[in-house]
Amino acid sequence: MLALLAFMAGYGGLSLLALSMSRHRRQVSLTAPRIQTIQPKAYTLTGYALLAIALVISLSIWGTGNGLVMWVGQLTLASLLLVLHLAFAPQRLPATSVASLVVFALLFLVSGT
Amino acid sequence: MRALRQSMTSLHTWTGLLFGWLLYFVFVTGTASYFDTEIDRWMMPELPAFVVAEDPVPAFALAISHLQTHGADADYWFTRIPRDRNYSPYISVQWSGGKSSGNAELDPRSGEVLSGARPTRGGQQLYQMHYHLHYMPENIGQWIVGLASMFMFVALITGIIVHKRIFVDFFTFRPGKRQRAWLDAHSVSSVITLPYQLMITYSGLLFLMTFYMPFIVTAHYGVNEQGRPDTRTMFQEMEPVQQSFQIDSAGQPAPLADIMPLVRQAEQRWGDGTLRFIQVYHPGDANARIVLADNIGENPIRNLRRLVFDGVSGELLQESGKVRSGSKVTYDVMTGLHEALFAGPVLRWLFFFCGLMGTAMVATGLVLWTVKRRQTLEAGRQVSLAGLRTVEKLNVATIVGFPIAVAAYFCANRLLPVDMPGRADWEVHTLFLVWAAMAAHALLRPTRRVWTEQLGVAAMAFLVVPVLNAVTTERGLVQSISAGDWVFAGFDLTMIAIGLAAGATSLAGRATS
Repeated sequence: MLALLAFMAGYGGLSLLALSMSRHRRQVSLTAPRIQTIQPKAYTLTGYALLAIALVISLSIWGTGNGLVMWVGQLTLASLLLVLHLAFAPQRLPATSVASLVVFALLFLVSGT
Repeated sequence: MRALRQSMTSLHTWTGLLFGWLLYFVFVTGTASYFDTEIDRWMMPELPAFVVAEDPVPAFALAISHLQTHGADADYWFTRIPRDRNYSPYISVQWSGGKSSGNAELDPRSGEVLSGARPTRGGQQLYQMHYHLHYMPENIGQWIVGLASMFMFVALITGIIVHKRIFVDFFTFRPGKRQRAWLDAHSVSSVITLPYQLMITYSGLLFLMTFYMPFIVTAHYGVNEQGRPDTRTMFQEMEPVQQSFQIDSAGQPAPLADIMPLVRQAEQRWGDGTLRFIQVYHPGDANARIVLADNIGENPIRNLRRLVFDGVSGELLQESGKVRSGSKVTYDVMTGLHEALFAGPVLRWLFFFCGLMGTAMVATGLVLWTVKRRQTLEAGRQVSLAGLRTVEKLNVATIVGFPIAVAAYFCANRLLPVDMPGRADWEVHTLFLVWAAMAAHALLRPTRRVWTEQLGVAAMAFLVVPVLNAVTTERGLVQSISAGDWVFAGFDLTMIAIGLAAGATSLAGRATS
């Protein structure tokens, strides 16, 4: 459960970092033009912030050594999922991105940490 | 700047091509090795399923009584109890020196000696081949793998230098055009796992650093009686606690202290569940020493905590922690990350996934080389046809042929008669014979058909493994799942997943060609 929390933060953060790049915003904004109205810098900052949150959660669950490794491993898996997502179903990215952040928020509240 | 990029590209292409097939072998065997003990278990279905020893006291009691019975005349005792998936899932006892030697594996629940397992090299064979190959002296194999690893590192660094848009292209995969798709696949599989690839290559080399760079040891510690670098003195200096137990026997008999109170001391000191093995030096002698060591898989630092007790009085002589010096802990963390003994189930699958990505990185690179040259050929320009055809055939023979050989290794484990002489060796011969057969197939068949045909063979080879398991043993997939034996079930399910993936790829290839 807690592992999923860290993963959602990582996935959410990476998807925002992807959206900070114009080429991916273009891919995605065909069905969601509001994506383009948000400043790229906003995507970048929140993206990195979520990655940092994922790191803090990992460290607190698994300790320093294991936590760092878990963080890198989860981000690796999340990156591949995003690559495939953008390649085969880019229009759905806003939906999955928001969903991952909602799941993250819910898990955060439920876990009580 | 352009000249640098050009020379880096050449270097990347040539080192990748020349060492690619060997590196693919190293990656496949290495990735499989994340589950080496699980594969060991699957390949010895006669032995009972893994049971974790929750309370170490009864397990160690069984081990010590076995040693007292069988190893009373020995000069060294060793016992290890199962705590996690690392090493054996049974109680391991060994005794040597003095007047007797032997070893056994005991059932953690009853203390009975386990026997009847079919002779096999198991998953350890894949792990061993990973760093010293096969059919050659270990030294030579280590040198070859070491050379390939050094050039792998060159390929990684040159790849980073050459990949101009490494950040912008991080998430980019364009499956449309052929050459671009293969290039993107190669870049993406490398870049998203870049921390892992750099770590795994560098740490792999570190494991055998005293082998690859012996003169550094000689420069600091000189040579020993055989004229080889004196690594023994080096290790003694790195682990000073060894001096408190690597001592000669006194030659005077003295009763061995009761070990069980020491076990409880260790559990209190280190916390529950960490004590892993016990060594007794010179049991029954005045200079006896009892060494208790913890679980090496606590965290990425690949080192042990030890408690050294006087073997007669039971007094605590010395305690050592996991961390020595800055340089030693760096080495221990790097080798710990490589071997991943500390990884629990989730992390272990993440490592496995990264290993698969590394395998994909090598494979897509090799295929990219041929795709580029095919397109150059179709554009009407000059290309060495013999070279292109050779690489295309070697590619399929390795990328698909070698996994087929690994599946054949598992099939041989279920098919070869249990009492066949040299059975363990013949399982391995099967692996290489099947690989040779796949290479012959690649050589003889037209290039356009080889991939779909071999992928079809791969699908059948992997899907038949759980079938053979169900037919020749009582631990088929259905029985494993109902018994909650996730080692056996996981193995069978993974075989099915690989088989289905190969089959789907084969069918997709058939559709497009």
